[in-house]
Amino acid sequence: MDLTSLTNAAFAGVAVFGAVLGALGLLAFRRAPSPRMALVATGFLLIAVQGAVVSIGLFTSGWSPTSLLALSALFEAALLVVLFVATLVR
Amino acid sequence: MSVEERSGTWAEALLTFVQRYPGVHLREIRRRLSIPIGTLDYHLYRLGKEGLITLRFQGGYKCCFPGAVPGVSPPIPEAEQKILSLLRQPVPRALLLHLYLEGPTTPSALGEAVATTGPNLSYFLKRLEAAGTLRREGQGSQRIVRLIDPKTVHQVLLKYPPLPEGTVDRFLRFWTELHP
Repeated sequence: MDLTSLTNAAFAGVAVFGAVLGALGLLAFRRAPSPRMALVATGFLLIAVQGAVVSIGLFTSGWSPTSLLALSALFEAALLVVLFVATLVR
Repeated sequence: MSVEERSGTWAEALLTFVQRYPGVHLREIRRRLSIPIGTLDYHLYRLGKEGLITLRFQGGYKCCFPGAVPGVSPPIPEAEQKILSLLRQPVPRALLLHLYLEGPTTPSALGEAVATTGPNLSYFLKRLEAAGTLRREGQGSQRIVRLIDPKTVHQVLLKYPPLPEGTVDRFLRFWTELHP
């Protein structure tokens, strides 16, 4: 079983789902602008970007698995910070 | 299915919406039905002339009510119209619902419950007080806010359905109500 294409599809799915939730966040922000909604929308868009970047990286095979993992970790860390701050503001 | 396909014309869609959700304000109708403002104004004028829709100005909002049809639908009483038009606006609705469910409370507890800022709360409390729906009693830290006529609020809540919540509304409510 080719794990690369499976991983590729999984990250593409993450990108699409993240984009859908990000769009929902942006619509919610437009309806009731607040720092929290801005951060929530940013968080979901970060997930979308992470999915897209890793998926493209896997597809082109240009990046090593270590680089992709490091990039993923960076996105996850940024996402955690954004969501943590979102819980502190209103 | 678009609103036009479902109901034939904008006028029908507008009338059906107002009959289903009396007290709804103009901006909300435009948002829900995606009617261009010019078209909405035109149909409101036309339906108003035929007596099928009546307008009421409440706190800067133009609220729409279905006209009374003799033998079919009785007119909505004045007291119910006043509360309905307030219940169709998010912050006044949250304030009225909290006071109805929890009873008299302090302004600070009310502000915390509906997650709004002090100046915003003060603005809406003044508006609701001017509309004769609530009363502020006492001074300073002893100040209490209470509904003047909880029975009518109860009747209105039972009689008329709330506006349906869309996906964006639910998403917004979920994240907004999340407390640290």
